[in-house]
Amino acid sequence: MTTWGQHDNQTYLDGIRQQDDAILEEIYANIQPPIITYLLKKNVSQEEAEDIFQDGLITVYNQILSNQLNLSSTFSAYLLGVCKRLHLKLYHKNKLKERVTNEASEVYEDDVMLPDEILEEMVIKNRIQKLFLQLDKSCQQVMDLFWQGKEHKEIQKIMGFGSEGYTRKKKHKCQKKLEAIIKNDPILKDIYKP
Amino acid sequence: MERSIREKIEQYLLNRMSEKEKNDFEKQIHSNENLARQVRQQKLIKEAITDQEVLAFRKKINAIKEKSSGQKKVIRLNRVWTMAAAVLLLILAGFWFLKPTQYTHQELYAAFYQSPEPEEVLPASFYAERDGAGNNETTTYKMNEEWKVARDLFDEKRYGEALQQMKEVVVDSVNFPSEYYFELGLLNMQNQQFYEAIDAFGQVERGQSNAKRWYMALCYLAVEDVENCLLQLETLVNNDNPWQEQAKALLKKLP
Repeated sequence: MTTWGQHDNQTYLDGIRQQDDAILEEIYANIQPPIITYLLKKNVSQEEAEDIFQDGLITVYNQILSNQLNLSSTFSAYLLGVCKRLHLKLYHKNKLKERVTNEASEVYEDDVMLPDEILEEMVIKNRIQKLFLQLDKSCQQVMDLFWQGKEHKEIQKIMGFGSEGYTRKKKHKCQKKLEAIIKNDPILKDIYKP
Repeated sequence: MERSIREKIEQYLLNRMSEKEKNDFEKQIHSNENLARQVRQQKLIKEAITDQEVLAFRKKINAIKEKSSGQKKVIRLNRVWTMAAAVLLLILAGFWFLKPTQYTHQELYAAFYQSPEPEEVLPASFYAERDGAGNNETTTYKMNEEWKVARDLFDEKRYGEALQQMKEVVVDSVNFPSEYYFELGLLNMQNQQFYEAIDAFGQVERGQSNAKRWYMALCYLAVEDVENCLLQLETLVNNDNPWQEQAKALLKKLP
């Protein structure tokens, strides 16, 4: 059984749910390195491996929030399993089929009960969020307010813009910018097809 | 994506359609694969952006990741190469202090100044008046004729003529002196007249305080008055405002 962490499962799950700095730092200090080492052996770059690890942790966080997580293995083994699934989903979608099948069975041994379509949706949302955070702060604020359901007039007031017309234009530009980044993203362009 | 379709999808996802509109739109979604795909994509964007808990979690682990990679670098340095790194750092530091500033102030100004869209600077009521949609409330803000002409020239990016026209405006006759001076400041900046721009921004008494600060910082930078530039930037960096990140970035690049 894979055990790299210092705590029991419940401590990890509670710490992640509460976004506890100490637990998250411990995960990065003790659980991340062996998972990165594993991923590097699968021919991904250091940066890609770190991205997969981060997406894996966010996937686990999502599962905790929606009460979909019932661990029968250690937390570290589970997180490794999620990262393996994400790696397969993201980087081996249409290639190396034979190897993927072998690896997939290895993953299922780790007991990661995540339906494929849910995993795919999480992958897409994770990626969109990551790209969204690349927009400038004012674009992030405008789009967030808009999708929270605020009217243009309210957004104008909150952001201190000169007119409602400008606010509409700004929102439109920000949307276009995000969509352009999504279209050019190597991962989303394959699975999201904008 | 066509604008009208985008707006419909937004209305649908924001639950702003009547029951009938919603039913009709859902029928269209079921019969049109392309529309269904566009709706799904916008829905995913909406969900990703508005999921505040997950976004907060992502920001937190980004910060931890940064911190942890920073620590790793320090640990690595502390091992075998500490002495060598120290010597190298001393050499580099000496080199750094001896060599001239990496960017000139003019280069930094050019990199950070972006001409604002004129609509950013005036209140909505002003536009309502100009577009002929004014009511009793907006009539109070009726714009001086000369200023109106200047504004049209500004819109057309004819900055030199716009500035001349703005100077024709009798300031006592305008109902928004602060907005007038703010716009005058911007026009002076566009015409590279930075001292005049600083004077104009200095007379803005109401509103636009962060914007005024940002543009003044850039003007001070352009005239090599780094001390005053830093004063403006430090205030922006310490407040949550749309110029905060840019101010931080500029501050980092200044000596």
